[in-house]
Amino acid sequence: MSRLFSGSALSLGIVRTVVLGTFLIAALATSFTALGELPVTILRPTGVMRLFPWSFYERLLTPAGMYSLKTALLLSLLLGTFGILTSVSTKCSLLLVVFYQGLVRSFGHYNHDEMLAVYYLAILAFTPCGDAFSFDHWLRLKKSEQPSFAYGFPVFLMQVLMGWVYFTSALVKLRVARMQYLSPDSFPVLAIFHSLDNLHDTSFRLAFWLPQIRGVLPFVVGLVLVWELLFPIAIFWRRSRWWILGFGIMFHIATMLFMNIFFPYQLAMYLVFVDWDRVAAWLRRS
Amino acid sequence: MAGGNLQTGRNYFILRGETISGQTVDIRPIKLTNALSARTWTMVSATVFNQNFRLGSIHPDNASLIQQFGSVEKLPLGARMPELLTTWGNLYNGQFPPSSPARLKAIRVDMYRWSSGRYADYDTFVESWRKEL
Repeated sequence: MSRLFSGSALSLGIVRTVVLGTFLIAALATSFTALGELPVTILRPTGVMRLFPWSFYERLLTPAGMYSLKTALLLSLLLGTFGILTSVSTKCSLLLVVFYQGLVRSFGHYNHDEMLAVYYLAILAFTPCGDAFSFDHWLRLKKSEQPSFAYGFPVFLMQVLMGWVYFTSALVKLRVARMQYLSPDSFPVLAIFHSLDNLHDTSFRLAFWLPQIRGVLPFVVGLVLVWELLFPIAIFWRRSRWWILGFGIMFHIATMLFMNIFFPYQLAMYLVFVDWDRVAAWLRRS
Repeated sequence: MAGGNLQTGRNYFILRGETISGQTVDIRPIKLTNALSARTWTMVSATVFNQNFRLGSIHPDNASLIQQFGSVEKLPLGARMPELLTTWGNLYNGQFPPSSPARLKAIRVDMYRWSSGRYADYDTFVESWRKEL
């Protein structure tokens, strides 16, 4: 068990770069000013976003307001990704990302792709993730002097969270739809519905082919459910990791091709399962 | 996530533009407001069904509109759709020079229904919201 919790400052530092870097790349590629053009009257503030008055949203949802938010977000994520003033920049990044995610959810729905990465940000904000693989470390502002547990446990927690996400996803499907979820029409109907409009991020039309193979689809859906239920094994049995994560990559690519639903953040977070110390040792040897 | 049910009908939406040259083009809103990745379809649906008027705290302009019509139920569907369409129309036209025939003179969102029961008849037209630009 102690092997599960042991880790190095280097591996936690790399995970910090992966998580914050994912949000940084996404923010760089996003037009905040276009978002600021949307009418505030279609906004439906959700959760704690209801605490902000409408006058605040009137000021924020302007090209200038959104440009300011983007600038703050980019600066904070950039510092966090490169490990500069890490303990402050990771906390600022967490606050700004949570706020931004709340804002986009107030236009649409509670999409869960980014949620796991947001939880990872929260973990990183309160752990010594800048002790290595950071400018703080190279400038001798931080040292890797914590016990191995302090670096290993956060990564273990992230892996547990991912296992929990998939495991409970299977449970929710079975609780909500029961055995109906395994009916031959369950998957094709859902996939076709998500392929009819032009409002999704992609417009693949493979879903319309599914009714032709509806007889085998209960087995495919059942296999996915089994994979989700077994996902936590990847945390404890390293050899199974590449099979389980490999299946996950295929699963998420398939949901994009058949349902026009893609989970890029979730896929990027698979990198918490990489043994970064072993990768670093291999790179040093080669 | 619940699975799909073939016996349940579903509405869906397509965003289209009418160009100055007279063509009708499909417009993918993700290319205009990419911050709403994976959320545009629920935003349009919520706007069509006036979910933004059914909040605990309503925007003052929306509250005025409710007062004008008497109640939320009396509002026309997509009461705030013109504003959303204007935004998307302007963002789309901003990609072209002022003299381009590819610019839009109008933009609309068409609502269709996939009726229940079989894997066919996906596109029964229901209603359209159109905005001149």
